Amino acid sequence: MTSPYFEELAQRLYARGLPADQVALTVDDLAAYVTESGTDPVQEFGTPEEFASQVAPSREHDDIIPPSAAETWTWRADAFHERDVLNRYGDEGWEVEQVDGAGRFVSHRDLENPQRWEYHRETVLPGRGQAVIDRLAPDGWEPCGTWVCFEYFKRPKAATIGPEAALRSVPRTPAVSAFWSGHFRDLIAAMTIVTVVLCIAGVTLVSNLAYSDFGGSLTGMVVGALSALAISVVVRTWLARRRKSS
Amino acid sequence: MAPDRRASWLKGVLDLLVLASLTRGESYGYEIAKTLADAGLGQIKGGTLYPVLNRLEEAGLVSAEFRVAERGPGRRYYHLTDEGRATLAEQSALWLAFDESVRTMLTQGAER
Repeated sequence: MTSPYFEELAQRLYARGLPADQVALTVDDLAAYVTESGTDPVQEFGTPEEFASQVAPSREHDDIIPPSAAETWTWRADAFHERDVLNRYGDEGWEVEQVDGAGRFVSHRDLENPQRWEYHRETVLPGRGQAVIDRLAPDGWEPCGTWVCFEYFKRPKAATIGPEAALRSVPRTPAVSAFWSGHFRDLIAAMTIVTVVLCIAGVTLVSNLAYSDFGGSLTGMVVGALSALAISVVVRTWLARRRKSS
Repeated sequence: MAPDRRASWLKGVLDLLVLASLTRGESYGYEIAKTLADAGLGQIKGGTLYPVLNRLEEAGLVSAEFRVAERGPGRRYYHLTDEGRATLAEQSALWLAFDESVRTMLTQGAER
């Protein structure tokens, strides 16, 4: 172990934090191999730097997310437009692996062979999931997640367009992890209004029952019921119009 | 441990298996995956199969044609080219020789 190759290798292994006894064992073993085989150590093992990096990967990167994890992306979108979002990011190479318990799409991107994906959603009745899977499988659709009554399917775009589905380069991992549509925001706003009005009506009713005569209570009940009914009709009509216009 | 090892074995030979699955005539992605599964090679996912089909197509070893189906969006059918057939014969021989060496070593190891 007197050759400059093994001296440099030993230094690099030490520098990478390998214990001294392991460094000695490794270097002695390699030196014996070279002596016996008569081969050039660089030809046999690569440069000392390359070999050391394989034997003892640098610890300075320990705090960085590993490449495989760096290409995992978990996100959510509402049911009004999640198919659009799925297909948009499927075109950037994101493959959904599952829908987690919180309804988020857990996806990853293959850095070695990035390819475009497309998605499909089916509304599935209880007990009918397998029939839907069997129906779609011949066209290359694979199930990739279930959320309440929705079954999601994925398919490599190569199934229809061939090599053009391969991505030469991929955009950065999106910084966003939630996509809410305008419809969803409107729905939440409407539901909030309805809830607030119902609460007010409920409080009014309770206070009337507690402190007023029967006539007052009846008035409170009627006002509360009519308010809830009116709001419900307004919201339904408004949502129906929005659906038509979209 | 075992499933991981099978996956890495398959990685080295999947292109040949796909070519072999096309020797009886044209086929499409799902059918190829099913043929391989029926042969005991496990379920090959689309995300694994299609990049292989793409590479084979780009190398001219298979050709592909998209055909509209009676129902649904249609399928891409693959068939073996002459070059693919020749490559399959040549590479299969190399694989079988490799397989023989592995088999010999493992058999000897098991007998000790």
